[in-house]
Amino acid sequence: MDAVTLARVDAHGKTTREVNGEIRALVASGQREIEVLNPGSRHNLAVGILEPVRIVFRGDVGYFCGGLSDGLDLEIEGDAGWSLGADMMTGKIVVHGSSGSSTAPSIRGGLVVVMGDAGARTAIALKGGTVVVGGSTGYMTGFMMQKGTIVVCGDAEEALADSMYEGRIFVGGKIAELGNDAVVKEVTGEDREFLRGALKPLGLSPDAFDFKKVESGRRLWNFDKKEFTVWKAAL
Amino acid sequence: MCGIAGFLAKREGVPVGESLVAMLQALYGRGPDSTGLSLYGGPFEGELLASIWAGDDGGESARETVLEAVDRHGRVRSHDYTEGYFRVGLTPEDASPQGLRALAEDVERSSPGVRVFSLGHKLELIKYTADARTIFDRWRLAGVPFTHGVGHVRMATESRVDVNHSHPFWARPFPDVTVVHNGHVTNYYKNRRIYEMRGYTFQTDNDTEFVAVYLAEQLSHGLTLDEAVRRSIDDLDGSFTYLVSTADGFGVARDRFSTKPCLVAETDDWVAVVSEGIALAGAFGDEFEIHTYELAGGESRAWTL
Repeated sequence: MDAVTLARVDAHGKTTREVNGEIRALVASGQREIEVLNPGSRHNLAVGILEPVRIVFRGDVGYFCGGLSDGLDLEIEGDAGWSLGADMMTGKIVVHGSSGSSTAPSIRGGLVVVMGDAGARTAIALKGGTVVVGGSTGYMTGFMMQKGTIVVCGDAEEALADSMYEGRIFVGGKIAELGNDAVVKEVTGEDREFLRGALKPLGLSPDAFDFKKVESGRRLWNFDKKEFTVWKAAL
Repeated sequence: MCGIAGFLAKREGVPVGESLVAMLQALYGRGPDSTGLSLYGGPFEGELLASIWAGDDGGESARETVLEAVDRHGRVRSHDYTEGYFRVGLTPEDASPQGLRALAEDVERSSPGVRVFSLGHKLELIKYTADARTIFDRWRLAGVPFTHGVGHVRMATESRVDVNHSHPFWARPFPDVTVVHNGHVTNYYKNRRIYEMRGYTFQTDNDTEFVAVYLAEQLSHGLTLDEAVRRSIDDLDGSFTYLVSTADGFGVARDRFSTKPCLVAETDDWVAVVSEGIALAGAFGDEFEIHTYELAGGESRAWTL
């Protein structure tokens, strides 16, 4: 990154409102590359930014970082809290450390990469885009996902992909338990090519993992009481 | 919503009180109703320290009746009064749980509104409808060589906003055991009635009070702190990340659904368990470089001095 064009915000001693105000003022004045020092795990940093801006957080961020955004390019050098990138339309978020529960909830497009571990309910209600986790992911990851792809290089905890509508999840490590109506499918050549591209930001190759693909069994899409035994078996 | 924090020093010279209060102050947004702390290892004269609340309308005038009541169950060794709290150091006649229950009940009968918030060999418990820094200054906790402690910021969901219903809750009548809790335990009422039938008394309708008594009873049956917190994950329904503190350390447990947050940070000098990373930034600065991990749902851990 060109240091000359990088605008600096130092969050030390400031309220979240003041920090976000400074970021917005820089964006409004035409700055497209910003670094934020001392984010100190504050919540709601860089929320609601609709311009294609690059922001680097040199530390940890709290909850909802980069939420309600469209076109952001975020880099978080530390850890992220809950609900990273909530409802993002499109954009790119990369976390060097780990991220908390509900990582990338309901995002509609773009890419979220967590190099460490992700928490429970990661990519809940995913509506598009790709979520990549370099480490392991928590309980009920992919719950009610509708579209998009989740790639987990490590292990997945219980209730994976519970009540999934569509979309797919690749898991390189162990799956503790599949959620309701989630089924394991064959990984195709096309899938492998996709994974090759998805793992590039982490400097990893899909050949180093034994990826399993999880998709919806589609037996919970419609409920007819005459088919109760079918429905019950899916649960 | 609520927030919790626990801090344990692995060596002398680590500022436990200051760190815990800084963490709780940073978590203020999770709990503006009240703040409470259990702090261990502060000096006092006597075998047990009683933290006695003079009551919402009470004051220093209750001193004589309170001390007389304590004297009926042992010897008062020291006492002071600060802004609603009596700290009484005593040597009890009967240090068994039954003896301590009798002592606490007698003190409370002696003066309307008076509450024995804790009894312990190492424990001092202070809670109030104010923020952490106010409590730290008002009750002069600076510079006291505490070994460990747990604290809580409250956003009331289960019961009234007042001092009585604030955390931590002492596991009456077991000395030194307290709990701070973020969440909502859903099978507490049924279990509370079973415990009442077995002779326990509860001071509030708060779910956390039951959790404290339940855990203390497990410990009294010989379970280690580690075993007790692990078993609780099966025995408690609902949402919880809680810390249980004893004279020797504390334990943490998180419900299987990972409903409430829990971060752990550990160094060679101390261990901290907090609801949010912002608590660590509050205590150690924006730029702290300490390995922090999220305790997984359905997991528990314990640390002792």
